[in-house]
Amino acid sequence: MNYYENIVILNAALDDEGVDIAERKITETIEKSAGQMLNVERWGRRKLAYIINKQEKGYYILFVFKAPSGTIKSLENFFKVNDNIFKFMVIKLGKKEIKALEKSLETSKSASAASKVESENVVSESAEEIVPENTPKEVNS
Amino acid sequence: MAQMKTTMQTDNMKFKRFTRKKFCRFCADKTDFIDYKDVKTLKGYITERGKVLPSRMTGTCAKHQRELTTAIKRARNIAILSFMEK
Repeated sequence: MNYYENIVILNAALDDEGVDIAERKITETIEKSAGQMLNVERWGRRKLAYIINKQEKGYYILFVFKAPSGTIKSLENFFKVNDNIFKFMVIKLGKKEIKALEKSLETSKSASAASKVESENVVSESAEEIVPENTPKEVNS
Repeated sequence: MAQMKTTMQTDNMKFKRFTRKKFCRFCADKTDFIDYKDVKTLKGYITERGKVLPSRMTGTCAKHQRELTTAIKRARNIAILSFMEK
């Protein structure tokens, strides 16, 4: 199993549904061949540094995944066939990058857990705040 | 010959007077690796036209210069940086 990073540029004219479908298909092709998705990041519509396929804008998606080397071939075949994807790049991560990745994954996990706790706290606080706010209004009316 | 040497020395002195000692940014910051997605740092190492700056101008060490060039080339491939700015 190797760690890979994959950037895909989709047609910017695609709507959100089309992007969802493309993302799902890519994750499926990776997971079919014993891969494991670690992180998906949507950069959204960005201006390209140069014109590709007569287009000035593209929808960027970044995938980070763990997979055996055979997956990359099937992935690239899929990219070549798909019309909405007009540029892609798969990069095998080195040792230092993997270390940084694992660290960031751990921190994001703990951060998400912390944010969940915080949001719960916020919810409870806001609920408490709403109650006293409503009561004086009723009194006024 | 003697004259040549003296002129060379004076030139060197002149050159040295106006330059500060360069150092490798990546060594100083102890960066683990140079990320091709990080446009901000990469833009500091290319010319206005989009060429890679030589290490003799930026002071980057050989190891990091190698990593830098691969990072810049990757960024170019995926249209984050341009090959040539008009």
